[in-house]
Amino acid sequence: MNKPASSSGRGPLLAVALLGLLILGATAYRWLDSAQEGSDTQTTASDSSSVEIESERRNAGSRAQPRDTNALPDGARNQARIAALTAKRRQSAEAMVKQNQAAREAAIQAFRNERVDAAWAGVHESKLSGIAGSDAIAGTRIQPRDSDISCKSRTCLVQANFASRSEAEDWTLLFMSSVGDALPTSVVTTNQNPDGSARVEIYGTAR
Amino acid sequence: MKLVTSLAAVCVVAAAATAGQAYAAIEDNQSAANAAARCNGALPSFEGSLRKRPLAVINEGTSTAFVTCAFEIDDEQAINGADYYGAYFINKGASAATVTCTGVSGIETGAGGATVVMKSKSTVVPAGGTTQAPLFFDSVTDYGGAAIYPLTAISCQLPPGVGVNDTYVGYQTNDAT
Repeated sequence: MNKPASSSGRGPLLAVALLGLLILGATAYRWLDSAQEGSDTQTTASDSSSVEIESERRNAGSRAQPRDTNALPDGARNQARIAALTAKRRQSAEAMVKQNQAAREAAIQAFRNERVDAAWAGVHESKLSGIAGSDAIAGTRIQPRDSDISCKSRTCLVQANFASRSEAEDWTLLFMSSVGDALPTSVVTTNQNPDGSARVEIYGTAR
Repeated sequence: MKLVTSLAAVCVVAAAATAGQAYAAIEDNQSAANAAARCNGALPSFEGSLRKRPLAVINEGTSTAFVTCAFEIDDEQAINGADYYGAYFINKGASAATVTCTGVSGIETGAGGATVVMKSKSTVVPAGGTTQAPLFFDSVTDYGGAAIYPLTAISCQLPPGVGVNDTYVGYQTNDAT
């Protein structure tokens, strides 16, 4: 004889079923919400502010929505993206310039305040002079004028004048590509003089 | 009782699916290319010595040549600039050779005064053309843990017989939904 189910035995069953429905409902809601968010990104894409927000969101770590391969080219969206890129690039460049300028100030102060370790300085100055005068660099026929290399106990200052800014940058690149471990970190400044010549100052940390 | 167990299992699966909707993970990315894609002679006078082979850019001249290699990065997705950049070098000469490079990050800011920070180092490349020596600049060892501006480049002095093999730049993205 079958025993009829009592109403008290159905209680846990109903509670579990209700909980299951709640979780399934929440899952469906989140899925629909996510799909709607993707759609919103597409429809407001031509607004430059939304592009900037989108760009910031990406930079903040969110994953970009996958590109709709069926989407037609959108000139306004492209222009907005380029505008956002230009703004971001300007900010990054300004920050970089400030950072490099601060590095230069710090290097100048370090060099000024350093005492001279004559034994080390002499050896290192000769080493850097040898690199500057190497066949590899001399072969380019770029002639530094009034060049001077001065080391103290950790840092060195390399300075020279050149006929043009182009020559200054060429020589600096070749010199810096050649110093290797002799100057692991350097702050390089190139200034153009009014007569078209250029001056290079390299504050390098040698050890 | 079976029904209760089944419903509980459904609940567990649904809960797991819900939890999976939101996650965040830092992903390591690495962009690779052979040197011909990224490297050029630093001055026109060096181009005559540099042979841009499919697998390496090699100095086949009799004197030192300089190359500059610039690295591309997914700027929209990279979250903290570059983590490292550099290359492997090969030496087809008969004796070991030292390669020196300088690493630069940033963009050209125009005429007038310009200051850049340059990192420099060297590596010894064994002779024989079978062992490739790495030379990399990284955010911890060379930049003191600071973020590296995403646009990076190296310039290197290549002795005769030495070439740039494969080149890499590493960066991180935040894979989150």
